[in-house]
Amino acid sequence: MDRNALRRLTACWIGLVALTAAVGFLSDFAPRLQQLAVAGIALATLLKTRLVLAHYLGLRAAPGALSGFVSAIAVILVLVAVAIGVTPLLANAFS
Amino acid sequence: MIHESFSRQAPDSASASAVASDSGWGPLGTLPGNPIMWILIVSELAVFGAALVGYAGARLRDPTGFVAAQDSLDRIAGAVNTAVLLTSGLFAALAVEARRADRRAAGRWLLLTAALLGCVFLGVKGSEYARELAAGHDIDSHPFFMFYYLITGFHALHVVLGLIILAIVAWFDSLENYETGAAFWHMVDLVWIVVFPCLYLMR
Amino acid sequence: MRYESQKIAAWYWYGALLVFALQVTFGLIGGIVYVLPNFLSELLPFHSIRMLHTNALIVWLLLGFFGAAYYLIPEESEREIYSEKLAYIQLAIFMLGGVSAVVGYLFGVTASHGRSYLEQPLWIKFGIIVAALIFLFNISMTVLQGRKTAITNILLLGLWGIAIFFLFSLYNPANLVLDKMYWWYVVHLWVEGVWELVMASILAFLMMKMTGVDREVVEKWVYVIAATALFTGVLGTGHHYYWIGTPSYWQWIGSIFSSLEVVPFFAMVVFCFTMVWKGRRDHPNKAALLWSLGCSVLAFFGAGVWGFLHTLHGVNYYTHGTQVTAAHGHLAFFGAYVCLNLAIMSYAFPHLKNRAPYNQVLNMASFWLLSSGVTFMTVTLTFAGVVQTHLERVNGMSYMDAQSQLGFFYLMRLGAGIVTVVGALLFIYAVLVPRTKEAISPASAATAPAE
Repeated sequence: MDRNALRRLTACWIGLVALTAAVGFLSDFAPRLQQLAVAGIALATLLKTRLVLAHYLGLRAAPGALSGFVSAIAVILVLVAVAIGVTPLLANAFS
Repeated sequence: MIHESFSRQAPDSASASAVASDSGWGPLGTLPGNPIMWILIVSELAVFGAALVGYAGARLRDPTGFVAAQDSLDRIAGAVNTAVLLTSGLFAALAVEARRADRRAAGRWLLLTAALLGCVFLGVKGSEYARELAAGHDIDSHPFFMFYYLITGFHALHVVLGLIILAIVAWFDSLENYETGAAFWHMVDLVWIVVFPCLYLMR
Repeated sequence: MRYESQKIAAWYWYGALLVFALQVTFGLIGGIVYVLPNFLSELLPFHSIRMLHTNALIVWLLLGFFGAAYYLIPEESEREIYSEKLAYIQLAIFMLGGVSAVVGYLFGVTASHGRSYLEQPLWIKFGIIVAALIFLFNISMTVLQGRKTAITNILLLGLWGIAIFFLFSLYNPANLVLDKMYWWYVVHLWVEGVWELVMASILAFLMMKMTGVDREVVEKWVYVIAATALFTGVLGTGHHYYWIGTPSYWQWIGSIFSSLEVVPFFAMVVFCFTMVWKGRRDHPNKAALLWSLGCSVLAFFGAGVWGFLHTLHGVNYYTHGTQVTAAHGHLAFFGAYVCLNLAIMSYAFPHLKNRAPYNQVLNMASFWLLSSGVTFMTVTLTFAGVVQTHLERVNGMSYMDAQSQLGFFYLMRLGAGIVTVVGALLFIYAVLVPRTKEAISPASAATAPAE
């Protein structure tokens, strides 16, 4: 097996697991620093999807497709994060 | 060019020389594996994306209820499952590399490992479901749980389908099959990476 | 015509065009009843008119599909149809069943359940199934013994699906919710599932023949269209399960998947226009090309856009069962399946009759008459539906009081219906009545040599 590929994929996996730990860690701050935690989780998640797309799915070789997929996922994550992030503001506005 | 082509008359018969236009898949041709798999991947992302946006929209109407329901989920189990699936993805990616290097036995072992980790994922997920159901949280009990069961259930079905695909690939182990099957498996991985924080973590 | 057995198609299409004429006539009568409610009320009540209008539509579209299969499969498989005799027996059974059903409906003989489109008495359903089995046997044998292409694969998949899902018409649970669930297995999984496969393969055949683009390119499009049609269409059935008593999660399954049902229709538009644009063949049969392109565009608007208009459960909560549905139904059926049949007929009849594409100008005129008639009808009914939704579902007005406010829309719909009927008759005249030269000589198209 190609030694470079092995090294690259393992590094990617380490990055993914580290980011998973990071989002779990950020989640614990959600009750206090809600918007910041949600934004951080969304950002870390976007990085994870980019790693999977580029290295696992092999889109490194097709940069156009890679940025297309990442942008589409970014739109979804932004919509969800904003909807969740604004809820305390809404609650304050209506209470 | 276009004008010239349209002014030409040609007889209508199958034997008429066909046009030598680009016979490729266009942008899909540059991606690894079968292009139809990529059509499926795009479709799946559209479905899960729409479901998550629908979830976020429904959440706006009852944020407190959603947070309360979310807090009953086991975030540790979710994070463990994420790591399991990511590791499984690594083995699937390594399997493709092994097959590319023509090490077919190694490729099959790596695929088998990936599939076993997929089974672990399903086991953890099943125990989560069991605990939620035991706590009285079923698909009708709260809108959050409707989305939770629909989205994660639909994802779990894809894990099952992915296991079947991996088994087929191990049997018919051409490189194209490896790339196509692995692409599906990574898509399942990718979807989970997005679903997990949206349902479990963002509160 | 390259194979002798392709002429079977002509007989199916004669039957189809006959029922087409009946279908639009009953549509016209129904349109009159909306304006003059007591019109024929003793002789032919509205529920019978409606049933004849919708059943005749399905029957002639199916006859058209059968004809299309008998026409294109020999060319694709490069061999004669397995048995011509069986094909004619199948036609006889199907026509006998269809005519008996129509006569029966006129005298109120229907199945005891009230399932729209499936009102046929049980013995007619069995006749349909026997005819379908003969058909599937005949074409499957032909395909299996001949060359296999993507077009015949997808066509066969679609036709087998039509037969398999029709079996659910036999299953009638007493529980009304389950009854409706299985009813949609037939109705939805036909028009938003397997019929789309038939549509994709027939359009692909037409595009390949008329534009001369490589089979390889056409096949890829067919696979993409078929994959997206099944992916979105199967679970898209959920958009019929919002308010019939099924669990509420169907609202989200239905909304999400059915929103994506527009994708295969959009792909078909892009496919047809790309093929014509890329193709280097200037085909003499302009009318068939017009119908094919029109089919993709009108199907996109009728099925895709008008379907999406009321497919989200939040919207459908208000619009369910109003004239918005009728608007969508008319343009979707016309665009996707009527245009498709008329396209393949326009393409094939000159071959079957061994003449140059004739009466093209009249045929193209009928395209514009039919399309504008149905489109105007659709727009009118959409506005009627919006007003109805507001009066009934927002203001809480009763059904009949709301109807009395819609008279002007129904009058305009009747006008559109008259144009549609004229267009249909003109089409039939244009393809069937032989002429030696064009009624109106176009600039150059008619001078093109015959194949």
